[in-house]
Amino acid sequence: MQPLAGLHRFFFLCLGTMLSTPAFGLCDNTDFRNFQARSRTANADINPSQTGLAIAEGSASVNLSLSFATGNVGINPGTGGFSTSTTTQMGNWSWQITADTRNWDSTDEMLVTYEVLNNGQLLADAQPSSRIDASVVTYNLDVRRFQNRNTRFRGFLAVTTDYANATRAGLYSGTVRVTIECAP
Amino acid sequence: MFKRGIAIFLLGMALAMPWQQVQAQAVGDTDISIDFPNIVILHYVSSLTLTFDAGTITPEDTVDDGPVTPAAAGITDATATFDLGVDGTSGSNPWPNTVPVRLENAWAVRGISTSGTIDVDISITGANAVNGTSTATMSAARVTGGGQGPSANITIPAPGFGTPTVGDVDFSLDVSGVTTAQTHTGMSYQIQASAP
Repeated sequence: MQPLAGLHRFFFLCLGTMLSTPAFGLCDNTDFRNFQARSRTANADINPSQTGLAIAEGSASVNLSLSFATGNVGINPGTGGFSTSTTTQMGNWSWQITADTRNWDSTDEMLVTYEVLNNGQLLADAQPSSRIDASVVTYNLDVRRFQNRNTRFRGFLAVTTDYANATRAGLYSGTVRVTIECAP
Repeated sequence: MFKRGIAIFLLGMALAMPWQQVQAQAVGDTDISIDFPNIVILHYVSSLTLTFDAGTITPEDTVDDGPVTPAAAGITDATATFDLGVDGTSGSNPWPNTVPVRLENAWAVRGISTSGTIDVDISITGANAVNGTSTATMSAARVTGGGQGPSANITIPAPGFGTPTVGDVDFSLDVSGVTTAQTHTGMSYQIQASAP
C-alpha cells in the first residue's frame, strides 16, 4: 500500500463533505473578506443657535449697605436650558466588507458591533486632556449583491457624543473598532 | 507526484484550519474626527432688586434736612427703607456722593472654545435709576471671575459644561441725586460672554 493512499481517501472524504454541505442558513464567519475602513471627519451636528446661549436664572434681591455695599446675588445655575449631547452622521461609508453569501438565506443575520477605543472617548487634537464620550451606531447599511452571489456591505456611521466634560472646541479624534460576525 | 501534491494540499488545509478558527470575526478599525464649534453659555440674573440699608451710613457732612430717606437703585426694581433721623444744621445731602457696589456671584459662564478661553465683558445699558427727579447713576461697571478682573472685560479659562465659572459685578453708584426713598428704576447693565 502506498504511504499516501490513506491521505488520498481522506482528501476526497473532506471534499465530499464540503460538497454535501446543505445550502441554507449557513452564514459562516469565514465568509467575510476584504474588510476596508475609511477615516471620516464631520462637523458636530450642533444647531448654530445653540452655540451662544444666554440663560436667565430668574430674579434676585440683594440687601446692601450704603457704606459697605457688597451683597451676594447667589446665582446658582443648573444644567437646564442646554444639552451637551448630539449625534453626528459621519458622511460617506466608514467600513466595507464583502461576504460570500452563496449559502446564505433569508434567516441569516449579520451582527455588527462598534467599540470606541480609548475607553469610549474622543480626544481633542489641541488638548488631549479634553475628552468627549462617544458611542457609535449604523445609520445606514448599503447592500449590493453581485452576480457571483458575493455581497458587499457598506456601513455608514453615526456618532453620539456627550461633550459635558469637554473644555476645548475643535477637532476630536478617535478610533472605532468594527467587529462583523454571523449573528448567533 | 499526484499523491505528493495531495499531501501538500492536506498539509496546507491543516495549517489553514487554526487560522480559520482565529478568524471567527471580521475586525477592523476606522478613524473618526468630529469638529466641535465654540459654545458659550452665559447664566445671568435678569431682574435684580437692590435694597439699600442706610443703618450704617456715615454722612459726608452734618446737615439737618429733616428726615431723609435716601437711595434705592436696582436693575429693574429697587426699594430702600431708611430711618436715620439725621440731625444736622447745614448742607443739602447727608449721603456719600458715590457708593461702591459689589454684587457677588452675579453671573456664570460655561463653554468651550478653540483658544481655551472665554471673554466676559460688561457694559452699562441704562445708567440712571430714577423716581421722578430723584436719580441714582451707575458708572464704571466691571466684572471679576476666574481669577481675572475687576475690569470691564476679562478673559477666563473656558470651564467646559460641568461646573461653571461664577463671577461678580461691581460698579459705582452716584447717589448724590437721590432725593426720595422710593423705588428707582431704569438702570441696567449687560454682560456678554464670547469666544475670542
